[in-house]
Amino acid sequence: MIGLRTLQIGVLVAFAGFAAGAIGDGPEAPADDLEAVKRELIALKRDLVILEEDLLFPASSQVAVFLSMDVGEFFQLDAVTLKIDDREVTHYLYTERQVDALMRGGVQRLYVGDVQQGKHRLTAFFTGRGPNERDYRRAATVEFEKTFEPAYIELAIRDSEGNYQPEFFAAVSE
Amino acid sequence: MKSFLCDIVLSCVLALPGARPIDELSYAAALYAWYQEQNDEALVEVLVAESRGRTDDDPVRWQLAKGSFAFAQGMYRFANESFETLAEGELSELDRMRLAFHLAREHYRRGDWRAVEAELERVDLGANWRGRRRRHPEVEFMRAEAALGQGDLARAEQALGALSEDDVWLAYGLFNLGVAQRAAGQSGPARATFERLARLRVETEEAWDLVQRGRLALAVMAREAGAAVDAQELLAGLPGDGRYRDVAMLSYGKLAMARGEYDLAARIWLTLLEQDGWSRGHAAARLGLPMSLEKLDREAQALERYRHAALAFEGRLAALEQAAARTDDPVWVDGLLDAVSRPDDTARAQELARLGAPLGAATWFEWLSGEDVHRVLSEWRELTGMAGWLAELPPRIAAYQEVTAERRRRTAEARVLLDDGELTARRDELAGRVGVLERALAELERETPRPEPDWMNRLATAEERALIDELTAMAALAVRLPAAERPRVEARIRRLIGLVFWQIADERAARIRALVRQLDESRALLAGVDARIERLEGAEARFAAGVEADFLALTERSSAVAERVAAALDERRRVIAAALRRGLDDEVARTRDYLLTARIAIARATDRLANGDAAPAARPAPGVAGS
Repeated sequence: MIGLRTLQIGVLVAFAGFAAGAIGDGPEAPADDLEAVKRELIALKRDLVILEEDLLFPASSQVAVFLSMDVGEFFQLDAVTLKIDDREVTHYLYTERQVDALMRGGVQRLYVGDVQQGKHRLTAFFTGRGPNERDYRRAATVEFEKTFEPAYIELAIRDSEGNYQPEFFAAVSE
Repeated sequence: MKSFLCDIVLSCVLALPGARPIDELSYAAALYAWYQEQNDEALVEVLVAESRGRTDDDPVRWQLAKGSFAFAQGMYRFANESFETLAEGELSELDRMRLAFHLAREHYRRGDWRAVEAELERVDLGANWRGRRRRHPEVEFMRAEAALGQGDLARAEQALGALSEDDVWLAYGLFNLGVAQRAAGQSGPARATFERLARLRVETEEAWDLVQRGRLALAVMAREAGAAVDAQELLAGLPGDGRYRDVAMLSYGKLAMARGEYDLAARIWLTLLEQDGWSRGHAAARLGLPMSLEKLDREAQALERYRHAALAFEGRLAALEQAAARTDDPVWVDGLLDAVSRPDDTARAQELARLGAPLGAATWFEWLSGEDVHRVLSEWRELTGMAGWLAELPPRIAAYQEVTAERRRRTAEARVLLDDGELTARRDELAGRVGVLERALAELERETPRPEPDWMNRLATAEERALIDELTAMAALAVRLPAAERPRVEARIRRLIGLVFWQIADERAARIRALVRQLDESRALLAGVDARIERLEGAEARFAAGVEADFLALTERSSAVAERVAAALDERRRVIAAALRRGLDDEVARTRDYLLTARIAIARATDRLANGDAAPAARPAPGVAGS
């Protein structure tokens, strides 16, 4: 979306005649190339993320958990608790904005961590408000085999039109 | 609804029963950041996916996303470069529409209205199940703006008609349309547009601000048209505080003066004077109040007020000159910019008010919200954020270096264990077994079967081997038997050996196949162990060669970026300081005019009092007596 701020400024200035005048002329334009600085910084951030991932979560031990939500009319998400092999690895509380981003099709990278190779069990507990504004807590479990390749797991919350209830899934990405 | 939202701006795939592939998840993770207006995070997400080779599934949508995120981040050249990489032939109809939407935004930014229209022509979202055209608010807004830019007010109005009443884009669109209509001398339509804007039920602060401006515009227009009552009602309807209060009160005071309602005017000027700090309204009230008093024939009080005003203007002049001198002080300018960079809360407002006290808080805020100043201040804020991030980088890199050192230490330990421990021994044992098996198989395949222990033992089972050993021992003992018995016993032993031999020879092919399988398994085990050893050995080398070099490169790059950020901050500090100086000089000139006006009025009022022109006060002005 276009930055509302930029637009607002454009609009406000267009109507300067109705507003009280400013105290003076605006500043001259800065002579440097801000975009070039931003590009360098973004590239630096990218390389840092890659280095971080390679260093802290190498493929041979990496497990990443993603959360997606489709529609969400029967469930208002408040929090997710994640356990791997019965050990809590993260607990996440959601803001309205984050829930909105999920409902619009975004996927949250909920957790990235390390596990040993072999079989594991992941359980996600979803807390929120279910149908009729009632407190709702459900869990979804998936077992996965960690190999030399990274393990990606998707948790999904969906509405079931059939029984007017939310449904929770956990599956390993191939 | 979700798919509709996704359609025009970017593509997004709804959750499916099975887990999606990582390419898909990465793309949706970028959208997650973008939907929260974390544009730089979204962009980094795309660039990381690109580096990881996760964008091959649908390169077009990734390029569109990259361009869009870069655009939102104010990186317009980068955005255009991304869009330019898209080959027309590779685009689906929907992709073409998306690209057109993004390009329209770019043309909009540049004010190239014809190009905006041309791109938006390609955007057609079709109709819903009821046959109604599907509209995207931002598209309709851009259509309206493009029409406005080309002077076609009717078409702009038509485009805005597609927006719902609670859409924030409508507030912007109506405001701009009203301004254009007024500028074109179309008072009636302009009034209707502003009235529609004033009636909007908006929820965002920005839109509410526009609604207030719309109301103020209506008041000004009503005043211009001589409809004083309307103007009064509209002005009275403005919020009791905020940036428009001062403007509204000033306009309200002037209106009362114009209508000869000097009592009312005096009350308004007094209200304005009661507020803290300086503003344009406050300055005007300093002169407006005694003018009202003069009209109310309260000459003595008017003279006293003029004298107070002159004193106040002299004080303000001194304060302004002092403030202007401080713009040369980078510490003071930094204090101002730091205050601006803080979150928009009460503490920030108080700090800004304190710094801007000599200038007057209201005027100060107006200046800060002016387009160019706002842009530079936004850049300052953005750069400050970058500088903060960069400042935190060296300790972060140091921490990673420690992690690397620790990992290397552990790898070295593992290597020692590898050299001395079980894994190496197992590897040697396996290699020995493989060697023996290979040799045995080679010989078995080369030699013809013969009933001799040497050959038979290679393929015999453990039981058969024991039997062969026993029969061989018996054959050795048979030579000691009496000559009469020996042939019979030896013949029996040979028969028994023959039985074992024929059993082995009969199963020779199957037994060799089993041995080959055993050899293959041993070879696989050996390869696995070798690979593990190689990984462990290679890990150390990779740490040393790759990561350390990465750390060094990152440190150097971050230092270079930090230098550029610091230079950019300096540039904005200089620009803001220069603009401040100009602004303060203007305010000094204005205050001098006020002072001159006050002094002339003092002279006039003094003369009138001295000449006895002034009539006795007919009645006390409300709230003025004794103040």
